[in-house]
Amino acid sequence: MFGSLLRFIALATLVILPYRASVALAQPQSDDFPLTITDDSGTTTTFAAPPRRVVSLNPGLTEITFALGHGDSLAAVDSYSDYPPEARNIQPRLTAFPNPSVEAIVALQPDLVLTLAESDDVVAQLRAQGIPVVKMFPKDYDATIETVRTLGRLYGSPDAGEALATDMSSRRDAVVAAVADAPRPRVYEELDASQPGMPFAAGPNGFYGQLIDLAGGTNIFADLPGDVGRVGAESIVQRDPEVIILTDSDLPFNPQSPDMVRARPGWSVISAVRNGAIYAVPGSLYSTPGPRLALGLEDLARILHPDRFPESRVASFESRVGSRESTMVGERRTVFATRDFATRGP
Amino acid sequence: MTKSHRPPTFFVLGTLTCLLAVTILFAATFGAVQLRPDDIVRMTLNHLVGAGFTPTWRPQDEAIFFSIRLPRVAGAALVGAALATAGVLFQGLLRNPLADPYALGVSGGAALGGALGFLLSISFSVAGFSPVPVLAFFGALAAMSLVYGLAQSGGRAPVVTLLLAGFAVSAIMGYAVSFLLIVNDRLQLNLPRVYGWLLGGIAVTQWSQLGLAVLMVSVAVGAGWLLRHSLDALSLGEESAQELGVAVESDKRLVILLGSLLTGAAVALGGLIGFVGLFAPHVTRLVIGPRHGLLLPAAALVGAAFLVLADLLARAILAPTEIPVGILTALVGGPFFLWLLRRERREYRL
Repeated sequence: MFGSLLRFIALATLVILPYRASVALAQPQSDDFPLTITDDSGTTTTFAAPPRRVVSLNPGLTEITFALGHGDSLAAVDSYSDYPPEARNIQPRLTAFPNPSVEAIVALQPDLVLTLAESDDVVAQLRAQGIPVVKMFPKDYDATIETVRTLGRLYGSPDAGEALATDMSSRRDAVVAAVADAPRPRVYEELDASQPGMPFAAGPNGFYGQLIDLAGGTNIFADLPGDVGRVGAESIVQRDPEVIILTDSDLPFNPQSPDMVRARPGWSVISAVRNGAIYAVPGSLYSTPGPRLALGLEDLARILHPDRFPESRVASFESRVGSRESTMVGERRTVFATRDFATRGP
Repeated sequence: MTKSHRPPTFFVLGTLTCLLAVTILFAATFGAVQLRPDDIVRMTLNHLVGAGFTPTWRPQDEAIFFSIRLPRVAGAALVGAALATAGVLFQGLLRNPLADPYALGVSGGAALGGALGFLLSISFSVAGFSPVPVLAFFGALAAMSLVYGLAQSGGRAPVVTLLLAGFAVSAIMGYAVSFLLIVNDRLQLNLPRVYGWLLGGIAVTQWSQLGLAVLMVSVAVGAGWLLRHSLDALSLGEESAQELGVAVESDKRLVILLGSLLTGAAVALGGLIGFVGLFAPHVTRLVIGPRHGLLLPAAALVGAAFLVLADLLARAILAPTEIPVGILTALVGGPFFLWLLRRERREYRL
């Protein structure tokens, strides 16, 4: 009874277990086609021409495709792809979990399928139908930049890819330079507090942890074994963070607010709580592998080092993406869940 | 029933109470954060009797001990006692060694309620409980009522029908959870959380959560003890129990009601923690025998001590990482149970 339930769910999780993730990049051979791409699973695919009917199975890859100016080549996206707003109008929207429908994808006759963490079986089935599949599974900021570059070349817009990649890395460098000699406050970054006594926290690596490092903070849970971990409230209080970042403030369930954190029993002694340094942030900016990671990084750096950045957080969002709301509505992405699982396992 | 071989009641209960007290002290002393035992004693005396020791500890140590660790240890003891008592009640009633607190559909009902708590965008708080535990509690009660309603006909609810209905209801509701997770748009966000919750974890974060639960569990344990003679008689079979003057059907209803309250309270405080409710009654029975007058309180104490210990391990062994306590109850309790089963070597009876 209980057992069979767990078994089913454990089985379901296997589907999105981690993949061997070396970021193997195709070396630029020529700007011209035929172009050979080596993806993150080490598979080499040669394209005679830029793809024009693309199925993207991940929001980050959808976002990069739009940012490179090729949103109109998307023949279908996964149901989580909601940024930029135009992405929401793309039909059909495929359910990518636990597995995308191979039939539905084959019926679309795409000339490229972009996958992030889909199972090897699905990828093999698609390839057996002669459909090129490129797996892009960036694990950190730099790998995301390389993904942008690779997709730029693949779409036949190497200059756009290069420009976007350069923008991401120069903004990263600017943040790093600005905070270089600043004191590094202790940061607790919360990803989910469905069980408030044992929330999920950002670990040392992955997008969440890496952004803390780059933005000039000291992650109090840099010693977790994985990118994400479930931690005890005792440890949080003891490690006494000076800043608390709530990426779980815009979750559809159990969203947390600074007030709720302040009210947690025993938390009142924490420096961040006493000094009012609890910040709700748009979680998707901190975790979606796409160009907006730069926004997340700059947002976090502004929180941690307000003295180093003249522009306020809200002004920064408004100047870059129109309004705060447009970034807040983004739901949490596949990446979070897959990374979550990759580190915790069943 | 070889009464003479059994140790006297006061000795058993006294020993187990001491065991539980030691376990609680031990679990309160250790955790993810290392606190000095003498500091703990001093800060406790300050709190209880205003001893006025000058703090040699940091303010957060006090917060960790009183606001975070102690409620959790107390919660673990309460959940352990509730699950063990429910296990005894159901094993006695159903005369089935595999019966546990979740036997009558509760795991499915609680899982469904809890999953709805995750999936619905609702937000409320009842006595310090968030939607997930509240809905899980009512899911547990609803599933058990449904099972009883289905199994009953002409005023009787045969044990085999109860078990089968319990199995079916649990399976249906359990797979309904899977269905909800698969069709829900935000699935990949919820899956790890729901799965983590299903593995169980003592989620007591406030003293206020314990008030209602203490009341519910102590009333149910006490009422269960009043049914000890019926349970003893039922072990001979329903017909024999009837001949001995037991009001079989009404006592059955009472046992199921008490069991659901206990299990529901446990689920609200700790999610679906497996194995305690199966393991604690059997271990206790192996050592002190099957008489319910002693078995009920003894198993409650054993279950409490065992879960306090398992929760300590969940908090401490991989600190700062928390491990779902359900993993540890099976990994630690399972081998011990098997060892005891082998060692006793006598015919085992419920």
